[in-house]
Amino acid sequence: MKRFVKYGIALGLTACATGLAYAQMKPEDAIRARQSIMRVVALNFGPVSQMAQGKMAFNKDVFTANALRLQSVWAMNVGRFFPAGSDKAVEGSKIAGFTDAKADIWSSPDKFKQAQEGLTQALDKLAAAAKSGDEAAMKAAGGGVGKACKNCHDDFRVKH
Amino acid sequence: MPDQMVRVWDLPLRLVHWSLVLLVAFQIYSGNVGGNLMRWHMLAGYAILAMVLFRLAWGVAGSTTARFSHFVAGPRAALGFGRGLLAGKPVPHASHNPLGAWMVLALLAALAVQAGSGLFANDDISTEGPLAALVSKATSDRMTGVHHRTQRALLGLIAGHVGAVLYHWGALKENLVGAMFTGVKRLPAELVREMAAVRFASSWRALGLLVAAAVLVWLLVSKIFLKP
Repeated sequence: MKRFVKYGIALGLTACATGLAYAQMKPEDAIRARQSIMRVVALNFGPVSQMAQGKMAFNKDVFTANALRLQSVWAMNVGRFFPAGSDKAVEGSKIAGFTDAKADIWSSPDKFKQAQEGLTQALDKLAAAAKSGDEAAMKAAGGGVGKACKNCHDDFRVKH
Repeated sequence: MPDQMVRVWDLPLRLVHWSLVLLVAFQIYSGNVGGNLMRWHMLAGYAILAMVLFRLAWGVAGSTTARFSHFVAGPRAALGFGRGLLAGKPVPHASHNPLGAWMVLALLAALAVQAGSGLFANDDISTEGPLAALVSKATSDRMTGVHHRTQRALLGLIAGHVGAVLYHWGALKENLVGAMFTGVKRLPAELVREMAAVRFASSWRALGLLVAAAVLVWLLVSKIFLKP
């Protein structure tokens, strides 16, 4: 019982600390975190997209590995790295010198969440297609992921 | 002498015109949908670039009615024509009228900028123009911005172009669309006489120019000029 309480308190404290860490996340750290995730997403989606469009020779193993990796990278939930105040680049910062986040992220949070959910679903489809091993389905699902990326970028990313 | 049906547009010009209509429609669709269509968006962009280059060459070395020197007139002529147009009595022209001439130039310029900027653009997803890697990311982003803004400008120009054609059709009973399909236009007697001096260039010459333009675009996008 004593041990149970001890672990319980420790667990509770950890949870609080984690929550606090996110709540107090500095804009600089948030911008770095979300841009890092997006970079890894792009890195993994590149070959998937190239193969889906026939620009690169289709390799089932590479495609599948990247598809599954995309799913787990996206599970990091990039949405939590958009705390209030991280809408502008941090002045003088070498790691958060720019951000293309649009104000709509904070003014329409539900729509923003929905757009992310769109990619979650597209990636679930991609993973399912990869597991089925059906090349045509894999390629089509790859295109669906690109559309989900674009869908969110169109609304929430600054258009150059 | 009554009005006569006279050939004004040569076949290559008409084919390129309607090909551009289809390709631009596809570009607007594919560019806004994204996904696996982006590969075709790029290929269609190359085709448009080749056709614009062809049209520029045809404007110098093509049939009389296709030549810029034949139909491009100064702003005063355009203004005078516009006044007549608003009064419902436009001076008929065998080729493009002075206002239409400026629209042709604007559309060609917008298409050239659009296709050219696309070569350097990126979508930050998985597609980038064939020449994007030759410039910095910041420059590529700027080109992407040009690509987005020119799309809107192009849509505006197309609306103006189609609107003008509809005005000619509805208010002035001039069927310009039919003429662009068949190449034949109903002209008053004085213009029929003028048309006697018009020379039509051979379709073979057009084919040669189009192939040359396509090869030029291919050399550009394959970046062969970079290889030793």
